[in-house]
Amino acid sequence: MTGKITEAELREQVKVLAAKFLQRTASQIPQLQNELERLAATGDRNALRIIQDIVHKIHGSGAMFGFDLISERAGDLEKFTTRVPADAESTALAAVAAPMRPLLEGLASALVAAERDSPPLS
Amino acid sequence: MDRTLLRTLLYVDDEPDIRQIVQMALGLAPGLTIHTGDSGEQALSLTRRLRPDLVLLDVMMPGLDGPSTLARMRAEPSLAGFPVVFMTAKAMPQEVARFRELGAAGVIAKPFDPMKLAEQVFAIWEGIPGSAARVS
Repeated sequence: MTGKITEAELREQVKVLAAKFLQRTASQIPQLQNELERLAATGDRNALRIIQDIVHKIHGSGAMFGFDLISERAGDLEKFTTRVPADAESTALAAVAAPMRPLLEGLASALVAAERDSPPLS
Repeated sequence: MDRTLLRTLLYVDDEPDIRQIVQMALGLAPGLTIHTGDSGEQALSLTRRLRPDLVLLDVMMPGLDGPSTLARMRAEPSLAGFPVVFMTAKAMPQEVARFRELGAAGVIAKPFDPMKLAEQVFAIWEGIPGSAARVS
């Protein structure tokens, strides 16, 4: 890509991306809930990895778009996932799901608040 | 004295939204071609292939993160000389100092202002020995 954009176009594009971010994040909440339940039921490390990957992106992009509370709540979840020992066995992994539930609820609430305050994508 | 203009840049970040914003934001700079990648491994292969003037690396990436990618570049003679700038949410002074010690030419804090990103990049570029100020 070579520079062919104006500042006005850039501002508009960032707004569009921000609205898409909210839509995508809304669609990821059920996925996060499913992976969390899978983690609780099976202690599968892959479920934890998927959660970590999703919340890492929400944390970074949320901050970029100015959705500070979403970013902060996603960051809380990410921090929690990174503290789980790399050698934790499935029973221990399953046990980390319970304290993650309120963190995920916090993220979902932050998303609802942001959606309420942001105009829908036209 | 032979000084290089900033004409091609590689930006590597695992977050698609941020890649897109960076690509658009740097699109404000006339004459600058921007390539993107999504992992440290891609940073290495794209730098080998595209030979960009400057590499912008996200610090926190799964797998090979920014600092590890830079270490791999410095250990590979054909990549050792490429200037690297880190982009990171961890831009506290002691972390910036650590990144500079690793060999980063500069550090840009995230979140950044898309309207000012190109200016930040050029300011760092112009501080790199052998680089030239913009002609435009």
